[in-house]
Amino acid sequence: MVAMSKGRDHFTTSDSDNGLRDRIRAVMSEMNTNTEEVEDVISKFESKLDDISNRLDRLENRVSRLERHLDL
Amino acid sequence: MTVTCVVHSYRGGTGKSTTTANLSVLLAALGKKVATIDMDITSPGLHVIYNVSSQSMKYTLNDYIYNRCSFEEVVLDLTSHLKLPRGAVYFLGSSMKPEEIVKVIREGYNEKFFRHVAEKLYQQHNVDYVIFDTHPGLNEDTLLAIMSSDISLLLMRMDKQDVTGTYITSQILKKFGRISYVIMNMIPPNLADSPDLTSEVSKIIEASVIGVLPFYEEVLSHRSRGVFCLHHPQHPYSSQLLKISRRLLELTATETQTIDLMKSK
Repeated sequence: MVAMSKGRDHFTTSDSDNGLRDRIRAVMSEMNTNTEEVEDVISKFESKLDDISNRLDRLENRVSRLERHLDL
Repeated sequence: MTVTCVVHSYRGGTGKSTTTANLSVLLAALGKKVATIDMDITSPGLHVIYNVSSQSMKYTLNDYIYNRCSFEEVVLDLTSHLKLPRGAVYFLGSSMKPEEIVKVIREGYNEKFFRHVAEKLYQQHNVDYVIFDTHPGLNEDTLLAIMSSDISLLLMRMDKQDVTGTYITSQILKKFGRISYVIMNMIPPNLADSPDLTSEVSKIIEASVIGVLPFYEEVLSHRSRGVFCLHHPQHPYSSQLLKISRRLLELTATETQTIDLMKSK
């Protein structure tokens, strides 16, 4: 059984070790996010998905028609 | 050289832990030594997927952070437990005890922690990959894991919330000069088959999509009762994830120079 150590905790935060945390906070707070641009990206994504879906549906229909034609 | 990866997503429920566990086993199948670290401190669960009992997991990362055990006492070699024929999987779990969780939430992680763990795993077990399974969202501890790692794997469903968040996350990672790749998960099967999907989504969200995992009822029904691809190695999910594992090997081999350069800075 490991004896309980009274030494310093290994890796809890301390003031002297916060360089990267400070950098994370600084970068995020300076992001200047353009929400309209984000919405535009999402809108393009949705349109592209609809486009792909519609193409797949048309392809399936063509395959079905071809199969029916071949059965005849 | 050890490559450190973070598996992350903006939203919860995207399949991070499932992907982490399955990826670790598939990378081992490709001959690699992999360590997975459960860094989802507020809701750890990777040990459940690996079927690791509380008796086996005598010590957790929480114990190591608070100097209650040695590093080796936290590392579990799951290679025999998972019956892996080649490679190796090591696992470092986190505590599910609320009293332990609240302590870590309150005190957070030192930024050196992630690199320290990766270095120890390399020194002591010569691992090829260290995979950190993280808490979702843009919280500081998760971003710390991302900043301390070589590459990020962002999991994304087709859900509009996921897409929005993944786009934002990729923008943040670009600001930090981090390498990130997207894995699309739980995709409606008809869409997953589309040859255009990967390239179109990559262009729109401005992040490389390295794999598409369709939604499978069987994976959902599996309910984390073990690592899916070990139980169902021939299932299409396992095949798709094996492709992603191979892709990851290719990418990390070609990125080695970049990673080396970044580490030397």
